[in-house]
Order: sequence, then structure tokens, then C-alpha cells
Amino acid sequence: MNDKELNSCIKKYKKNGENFYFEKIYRHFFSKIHRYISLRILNKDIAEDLTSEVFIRVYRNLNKVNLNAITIKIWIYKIARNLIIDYFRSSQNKINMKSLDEYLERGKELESLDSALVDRRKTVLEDRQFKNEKLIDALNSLPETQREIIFLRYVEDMDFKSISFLLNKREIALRALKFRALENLKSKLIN
Amino acid sequence: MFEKGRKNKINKKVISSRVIKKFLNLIDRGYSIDYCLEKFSPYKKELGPYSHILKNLKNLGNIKNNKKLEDSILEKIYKNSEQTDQIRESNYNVRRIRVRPAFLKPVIVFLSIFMFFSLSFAGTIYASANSLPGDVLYNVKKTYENVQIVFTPYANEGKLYLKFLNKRIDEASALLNRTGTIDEEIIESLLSEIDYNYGKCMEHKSFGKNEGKRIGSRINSLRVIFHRRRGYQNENNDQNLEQQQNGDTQNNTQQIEDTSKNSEQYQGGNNQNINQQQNNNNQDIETQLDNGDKTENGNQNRNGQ
Repeated sequence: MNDKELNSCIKKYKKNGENFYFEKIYRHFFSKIHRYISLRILNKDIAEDLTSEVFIRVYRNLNKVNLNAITIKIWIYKIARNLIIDYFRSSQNKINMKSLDEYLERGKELESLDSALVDRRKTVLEDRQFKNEKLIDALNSLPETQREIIFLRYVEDMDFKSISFLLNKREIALRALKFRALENLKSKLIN
Repeated sequence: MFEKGRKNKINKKVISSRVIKKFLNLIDRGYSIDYCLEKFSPYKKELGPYSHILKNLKNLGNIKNNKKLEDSILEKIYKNSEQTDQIRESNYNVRRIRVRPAFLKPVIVFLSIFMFFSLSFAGTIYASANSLPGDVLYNVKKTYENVQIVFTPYANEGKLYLKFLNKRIDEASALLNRTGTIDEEIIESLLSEIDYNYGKCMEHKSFGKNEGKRIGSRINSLRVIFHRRRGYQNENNDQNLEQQQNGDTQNNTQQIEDTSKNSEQYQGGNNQNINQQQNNNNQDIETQLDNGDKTENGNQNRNGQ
């Protein structure tokens, strides 16, 4: 869908409130948002829940906001980003970490558990067609800001202007950050 | 040799970083990766890993659309919106029943301020009920009584005056039973007020059968105590000055005799006419004033000696 078509869709939806136009917008953005969230959160079910919640919020508030074809992209990505941040903040308290001693006592169970975990992870990645495991691991080991900018710039293919609106940072700073992030990634992949 | 080699290393580093930046900027402008690699062909070794990473990242984004998921989530959104609409409608109905606070806000604020001030005023009046003359709140009490008199009809004024008379007498007895020195001016004004109230009560005929006699005797006893205490005070002053005590005791005895005469006059007051009673009261005050003058004169004389 072009920018012009998107613009006309938004205008018509605001005038009539028909679900047909909302569906167009939804289908345009769904795969992007789902990808953006599922790359950050490796749990499949939670990623789906979060994407559904993003579009529920969009459906509720689309009439209240003045948007273009350019700004709607930033707006939806911002909703998704905030939801991801909220999820991590809430999950910090919920994670039940079992102690290492418990695992060491079991001995044999540990190996089988490890192998099971690896298998499960492989199946998860195959499900979501992320064949490049090394890259995802390296990306997830980067600091938050660097990882975010690489995702937004190279995976989602966004402009620096819209990224600067999204993250509330200046373009020059973002370019420098991107360069540093790529160098960091390169060193991690070679090692 | 060593310096040259180092320089070359530095130059290489600087050049490579510049080239990488240029290469990345070109890609940001929208050129394809292969085209950029061709343009910077002499630096292929350094740019190789970057181009590899960028290609992989682009491949990360290419995911097949999961149509089932899309449709299921769309249904979920519409269901959720219907539920929220129902909740909103119910909330709206509740809101319509409730009165809007925006309209009532200034009224509530005004009323609360008014209530606060009125309650505080009532509190001060309540607190002043047990105050004695000379206290801070005594004036509040007096003004409250005056206001009460203004707003009561003439027929009921007698009872009020009786009430005030009893209050004044209690105050005077409380002041006189205090240890230490006495403020003579305050008690004299109090006694004069008592006389005024007594006269008013006689006007309205508010006394019971033996009430007038009893109150009159009480007033007289108060007056006796007052004169006695004033005498003692004068005595103490004299002792400090180390002067004769004979004249003082004589004065005291004279005062007590005078007051006893006054009490006789009061006891007879109930059966006499009102005008006569008023005259008696005036006489009392005059005698009192005379006594006060005498004592003052006596003091002056002694000082002169």
C-alpha cells in the first residue's frame, strides 16, 4: 500500500468509521508489528498476545488522533514499543529463578533438560522462520539502545527521522549509535 | 622504519573507518548493498563482514505472512471493542444520573468556608463561657450576651438578666477566692454591673419568692470580702513602707460596718418599690466610692507622714 492509499484510508475511516478501512490499515501493519515484537520477545504466545493488544489500542484510539501516512507508522510502533517495555518491567518480578544447587543435585536430569531446551528452542525458531540463530543471539546480547536501533533501521527499514521521533533522540546521535552498534555486532559475530 | 609502519597503521585505521561510514551512509540513502560494494571495490575485505550482516538482517525481516493469525486477531479486536462499548455505555448511564460536580464546585467551596468560619465562631463562644473578667475571651462573652439581649423580646428579658446576674456573681466570687493580689478596678466594675443587673431584674420582676433576698445577701457578702481583701492589700503595702498600722485597722472596721448596713438595706429591698431600690443601689455605689476615696486619702496622708 502506498502513502496516498494509506492517507485516504485513514480519512475515510475517520469520516465513516467503517471496519473495512480499518481492516486495510490493519493488514498493512500486522506483519511488521508482529515481526517487531516477536524478534524482541522469543516466547511465541506472548508475542501474539502483545500484537493483538497493540491493534486493540489502535482500533480504540484511531478516531481520536490526527495522523498521516508517515505519522501513523511511528504511532503504532510507539504503542508496540511501550507494550514491550511494560512487559519486561512486569516480567522482572514474575520470573521464578531456581537455584543452581537444585539443578546440580539432580545430575543426570540436567543433561536431559538441557538437550530438551535446545530442541525446543530450535523448534520455536523454525516455527518463526528465523534460520539465523547466531545473528539473533548476537543481537540479543547487545545493549538495549543499540539493539533497538538496528532492528528499527535494518529490519523494519525505517528512516532516521521517524526513528528520532520514536525514540526522542537527535538524528546525529542515532547515526553514531548505529555505527557503534554495527561494529559491536561485527566483533561479536567474528568471535 | 618503525615510525613509518606506525603511521601507515594509523592511516589504514582512519581510512577504513571513514570508508565504512561512507558505505553505510550510502546504504541509508537507499542504494542497494551490491552497488555500494562495487563503488568501494578496493576495500572489499573490510566491508565484507558489514555487507554480510546487513544482508542477514534484511533476511530476518522477510517472514511469510501468517494469515490465520491475522484473521483470528482481527476477530479478537472486534469482540473486545464490542465488550468495551457495552462497558462504556453502562458507565455513561451511571454518569448521567450523577449530578455534575463542575456546576456545584464554587457553591461547595463557599459553603465549606462559611461552615468553617461559623463553626470556629461558635467554638470561641463556647470556649468563652467559663472565662473570667481580665481573660482574653471575656469580651467575646460580653458581646454575645449583649447580642442575646438585643434579639430577645421585652417579655423574656427578665429571665436573661437573672441569668446574667447569677453569672456575674459567680465570676466575682471566683475572682475574690483567688490567691494573690486582686485587680481592684475590674472587681469594682463587676460589682457595678451586678447592681445594674439587679435593678433590671427588679424592673422585670423576675425574682422568685425568696430569690431576691438570697441574691442580695450574696452580693453583700461579696462586697464584704472585697473590702476586706482590699484592706489587707493596703496593709501589706504599708508594711513594706514600714509605717503605722493603727489607722489601717480602724479603716477596716469602718468598712465592715458600712457593708453590714448595706446588707440590711438589700434584705429589705424585695418588698419595697422599684424606684426606691434603685435609689438604694445608687446610695450603695456612692458609699462604696466614698470608702474608696477615704482609703486612698488615708494612704496619701500616711505617705506624707
